[in-house]
Amino acid sequence: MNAPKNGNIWNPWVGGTFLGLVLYLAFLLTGHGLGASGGLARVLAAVMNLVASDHMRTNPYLAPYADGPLSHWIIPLILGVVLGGFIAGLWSKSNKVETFRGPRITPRTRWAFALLGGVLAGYGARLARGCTSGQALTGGATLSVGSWAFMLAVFGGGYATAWFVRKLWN
Amino acid sequence: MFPVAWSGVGFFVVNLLLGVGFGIALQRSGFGDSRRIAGQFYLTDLTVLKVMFTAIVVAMLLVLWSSALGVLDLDKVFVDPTYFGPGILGGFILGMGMIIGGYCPGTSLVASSNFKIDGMFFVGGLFVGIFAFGETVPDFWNFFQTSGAHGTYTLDQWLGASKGMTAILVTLMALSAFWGVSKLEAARDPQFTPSPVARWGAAVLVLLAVGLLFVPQPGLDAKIRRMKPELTRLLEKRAVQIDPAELVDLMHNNQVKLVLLDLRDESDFNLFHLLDAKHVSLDDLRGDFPETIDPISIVILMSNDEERATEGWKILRARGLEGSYILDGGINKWLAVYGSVADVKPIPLRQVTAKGALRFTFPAAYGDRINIAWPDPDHMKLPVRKYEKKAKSMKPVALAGGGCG
Repeated sequence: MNAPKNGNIWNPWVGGTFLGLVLYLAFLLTGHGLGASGGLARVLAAVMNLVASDHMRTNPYLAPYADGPLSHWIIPLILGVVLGGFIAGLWSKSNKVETFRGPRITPRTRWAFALLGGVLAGYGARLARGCTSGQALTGGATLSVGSWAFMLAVFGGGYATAWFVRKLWN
Repeated sequence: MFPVAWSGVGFFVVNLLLGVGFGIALQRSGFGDSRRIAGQFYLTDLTVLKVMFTAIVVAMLLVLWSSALGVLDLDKVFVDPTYFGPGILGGFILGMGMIIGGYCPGTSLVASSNFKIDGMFFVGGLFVGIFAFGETVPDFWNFFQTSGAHGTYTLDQWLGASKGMTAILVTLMALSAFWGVSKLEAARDPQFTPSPVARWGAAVLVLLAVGLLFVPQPGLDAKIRRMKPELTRLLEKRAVQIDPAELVDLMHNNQVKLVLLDLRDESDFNLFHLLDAKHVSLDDLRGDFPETIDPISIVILMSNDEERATEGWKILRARGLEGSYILDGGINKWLAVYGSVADVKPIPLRQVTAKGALRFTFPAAYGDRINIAWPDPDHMKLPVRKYEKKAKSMKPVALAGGGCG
């Protein structure tokens, strides 16, 4: 693997503690945890509302999203994630256009698999009612049994698939 | 007392700042780089495991300490509801997506914010996947909504242990994983020396976890005392007492999940009770019983008058069932209102002085085999009553509030 250099990132124990503090502050100040995929679902809902509002209202899953999808707390939160990521990118001097990939594939291949991985991750996250942020971190810290089962399943899915796609990364 | 109910600009700013902190934490931990995330699955880079479990343990301990010290109301903290079927299947698919695509939803946003093209393709894929889910979920709606559904179900409930004991177990589990990881890294790199930060950090986490055993979480009575101003206000405004006619409408509304709880003595319950009413005691409400109630339900508590139902209502509210209400005037009022159209007429008792007693009797113990146990407006001439609608249907848990909502 084209191992990423470690010099530019925090000690994982420091990073983990900082992330834990942010998660704790989210619980303390707002009562909800963190999230990501739900925010994208709401952005999508807002767009669909413009082009296919009637269609949304007949779908039991989408209908509740049809009313003010952007007024949810997760919208400012994911805006903040993008902003925070950008600020941290300036800080660590890593804001530049590039494609992270394994040494044996072309950028084009990497993009195709990134897209495919995104499709699976988006589908899986909605099916599981949350992603690594909203389920694993948030539910993990609040001791939800379902979230811990989810977390094991994520690692299970990753390790089960890793061998088949090893050429992408190694 | 936390959490705070934010609105307006504060709502926006607080969530934005939390997001900024989240983004910085992910990026500075190195998760804006897909190779580092993929490395977790080939055991070449274990940052994901270290950061994730450290964060979970730190947040868990701080949340429980804040609750024990009375700073944070744990009932208002969102706990992801448990749905084993879709949760495990969805998690597995998400894990496949992570190793194929190199990110998860949150980290792909961070990578995109650093102009990483692979991150942007991943985000594009997320939208496609989310769209596909919305379009296909009606075909397996039942699986999505019910498979392995347990509502709010926490590790301490599963283990039958206290929160403090559970926190110790989770902390020790994480620390053993870290120990295993350090052995792996030491085996691979002879120069490897464990960071002293790690050793001190582990000691602090264990102390925080063990300390929880000595400062118990607030019990039910403490919660009721804490909520007293709000509960009293609702009771005095009569905002939670449901008119008999509203209950009749609720009985015929198949959009709501209605739970009827009858708190009267067994002999009264046997004489007459509403159809599908469950006979429970105040002790049941203090025990495990409320955990069997789906939090999205509308729960109506009833006694002969309102007194015992009000006690039960306080308990259920303190246990987080916000859809709990009281039958206005209790069964006595119900019988007074609908007695005239009953196929077995309730007989008014003349001398009832005892508080909370049933003021009617029946020729025999009919239970729910009287038509006004479930008054049917289509086939019965019910007295017309005007009422103020008070019961609010809770949003389905799947779509409400927190997490990835």
